[in-house]
Amino acid sequence: MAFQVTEKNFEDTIKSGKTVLIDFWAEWCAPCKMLNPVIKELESEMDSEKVTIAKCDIQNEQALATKYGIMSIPSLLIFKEGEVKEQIVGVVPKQKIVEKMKPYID
Amino acid sequence: MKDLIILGGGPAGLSAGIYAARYKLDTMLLEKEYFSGGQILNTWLVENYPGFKEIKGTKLAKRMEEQAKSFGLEIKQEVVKEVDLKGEEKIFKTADKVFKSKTAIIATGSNPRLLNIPGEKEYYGKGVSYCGTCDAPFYKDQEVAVVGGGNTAVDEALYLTKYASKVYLIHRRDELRADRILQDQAFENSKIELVWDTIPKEIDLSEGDKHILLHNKKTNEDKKLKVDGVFVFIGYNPNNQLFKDQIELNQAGFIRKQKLSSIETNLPGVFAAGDIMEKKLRQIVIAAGDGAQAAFEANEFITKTY
Repeated sequence: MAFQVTEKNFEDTIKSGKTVLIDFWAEWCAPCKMLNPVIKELESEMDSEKVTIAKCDIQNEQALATKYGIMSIPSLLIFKEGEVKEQIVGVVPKQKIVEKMKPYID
Repeated sequence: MKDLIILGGGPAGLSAGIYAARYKLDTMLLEKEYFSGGQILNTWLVENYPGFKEIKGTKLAKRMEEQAKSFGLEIKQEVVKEVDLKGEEKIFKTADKVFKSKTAIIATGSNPRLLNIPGEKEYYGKGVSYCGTCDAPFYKDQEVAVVGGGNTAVDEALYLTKYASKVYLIHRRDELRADRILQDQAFENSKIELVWDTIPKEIDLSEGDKHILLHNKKTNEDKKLKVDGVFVFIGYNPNNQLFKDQIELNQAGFIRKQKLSSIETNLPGVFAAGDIMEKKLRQIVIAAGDGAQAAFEANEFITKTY
């Protein structure tokens, strides 16, 4: 299970030097659940030395959702060195997520 | 070689799977997503499927899937990239696998239609949404526009009133297409304001001037409506990309019925079920009915041919 980011550990996570994918989700959102297995696969396939995959429950972390302008879920944000590099909205194939992440993986 | 391959795991495909499994056909269902259910997964509450006064879309999907599996249906998560349905063998190719069968049921369904106006793509995920149940909580005490006039649009507008302070329901005609019971609920809801005879021209949700530009078809006037979000429910496009050059379609891209009472396609051994078929009404109960009939006809075809 991907680890859950909260306001407390968010900054440290995105500034860890790794490429970070954060999945903004909520319990009430069916498409978010459809994306879960994709996130799990990404987690097991990607090099954890270089990539962090995390989830952000927007019900508990409304401030983070607001800060990053999340208005639709699921939304995936790709961070590098603390900056948002890409945003992917909705349920998309795994390959598309990998393609978007690739340029930011060392 | 399988007896039957079903393409798509919405209500039509799952219902076909239930029937086919009970006919003891060696059947495989291919679904591109990790969860079966198709569009009902995005439906908050289903209130018109017989046997359930109300049931969450996700729950109904789960139950259909469990029922099909209990009869032995094999469901696989596979993204099919290419099909060849013309020959005696029906062939389905993914990136790294090939599946073959004697018959096929096409149940690929449809996808929400886009407005195709400026701003829609740019603000997708930043104020433009196609899923009210997902995104309604983002609009607490805010004003939103819902575009459409069918069951989905009215249903989602009603759901949005749980959070939003105001919901403008924008419809291109002067009456709604939704079921009367839903219309009545919308008319009685003080948070919903109907905007008749109107089509959206542009969406601009940039900070400080968030609005949707509306065009009134009767008065020919354009006006800006201040909203924080725009929800689009204007019908569906058929998911026909895989087979559009093999199966006969109607002008709108749905699979053409060969006979009034049947669900055969123009290709022998290939049947279609659910939203992908040409029809006047697209509902879960109809998709389930189609699925049953498609499985019946596939079974009959195999008995006759093999």
